[in-house]
Amino acid sequence: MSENTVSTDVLKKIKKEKLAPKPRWAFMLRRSVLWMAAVISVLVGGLGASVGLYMIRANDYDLYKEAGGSLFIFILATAPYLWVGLLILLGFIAFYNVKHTKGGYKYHGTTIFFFSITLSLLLGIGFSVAGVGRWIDNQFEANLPGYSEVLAPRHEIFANPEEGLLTGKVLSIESLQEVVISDLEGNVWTVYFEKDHPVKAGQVLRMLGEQTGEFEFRAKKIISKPEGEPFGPKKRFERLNKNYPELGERIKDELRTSD
Amino acid sequence: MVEHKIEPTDHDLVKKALEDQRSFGVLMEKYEGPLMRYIMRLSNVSRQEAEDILQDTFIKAYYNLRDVDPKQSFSAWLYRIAHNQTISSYRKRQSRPQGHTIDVDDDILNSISTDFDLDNLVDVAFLKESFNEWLPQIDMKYREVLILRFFQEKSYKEIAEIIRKPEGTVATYLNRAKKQLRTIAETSKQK
Repeated sequence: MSENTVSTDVLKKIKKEKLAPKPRWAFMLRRSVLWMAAVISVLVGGLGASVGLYMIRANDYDLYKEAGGSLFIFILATAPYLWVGLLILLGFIAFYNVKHTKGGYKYHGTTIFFFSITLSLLLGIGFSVAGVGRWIDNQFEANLPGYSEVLAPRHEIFANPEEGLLTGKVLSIESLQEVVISDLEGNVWTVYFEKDHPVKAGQVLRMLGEQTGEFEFRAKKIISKPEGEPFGPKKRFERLNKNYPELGERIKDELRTSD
Repeated sequence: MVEHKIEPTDHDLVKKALEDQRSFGVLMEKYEGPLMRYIMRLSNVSRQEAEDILQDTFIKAYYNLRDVDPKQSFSAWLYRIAHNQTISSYRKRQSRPQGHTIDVDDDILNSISTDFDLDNLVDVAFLKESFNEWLPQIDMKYREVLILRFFQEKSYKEIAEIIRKPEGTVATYLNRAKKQLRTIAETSKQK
């Protein structure tokens, strides 16, 4: 048997079947797609990180701590799992893409993974400062079913009036010391402030105090979130307007007046 | 005056092969023997099966000829394709290894014996007798690095290019191949 049988056979096959090398652009396209996908993964990871950072910042741990809550439970209840998961997933995608580029094999998988996560986090800080994280969170909360309850359940930890924590959206303002709010379940509460505290209709409040009666609360410390702050899914408030049409009208009037 | 004809490099031949298939034939002839031995050592398949893998390797290489990077070694690029084809074929055939043996050069065995500290454990004659039996017992990824380093005489850099792992990992794999081979040799000696 000749030593070069295979070479001869392959050459014959190339001629017979008129085989030809693939065009250069096909390889360039593949390389570009791999790099683009890696860059996109890091960018999207940055957006995810910015939402996660925003959620951590907007979680009001101080208020929870004053109510005697534990840090561990707070972290468990309010951690931005969706965004952390997304960041890790995109880190893997970036790792896979970089590994499959021409020189990607030279780097350890963990190096690429952590480098892409770090890059996403740095971008996330930038996006977060620019308000991108808050904007994305608002959009998701308003438009993505299940986001508020399952994927970002951070409001729930403040819905504990027996423990002195109440959160709600202002429906109407009776005075500087008395407001009517709706909690996350759509229950309507009358809240008395210890001191004058100007609020606006539609604003979200997180309060530390004590429950004084069925759906009555005395607030000692109040954190007013900026207007437009996400607060549970829209459906809750649609349900509320249906159950309390007069309040729905009042909140609309209040909002008109505040404009 | 004697004229010295300068041998074309692999990259010269690749460039020519894009215009003229015969240059690809020259490249294939150059690598057919070493690749054939590499495939057989790595996968333990019969000669016929190794020829099939090699044929697929060359066809794939021809299709991807424009992907060759002039800054990188053509040899490593070609071995990389052979590696992929062999691994893919090995996975399909793993359930029925052929137990095919090929001669092992004494110099290579001496080199392995010294580098892997086997010389104080077994003599070269015993190593020569048993090596073909021991080699398939080493994990595939470590065995491959051992074969590339000692039988194909590739540098760490080239091995890294072929198996697409960092050079540090190549060194680690070689070390693990050494440990496994020593364990196999010790067990074999006790029997």
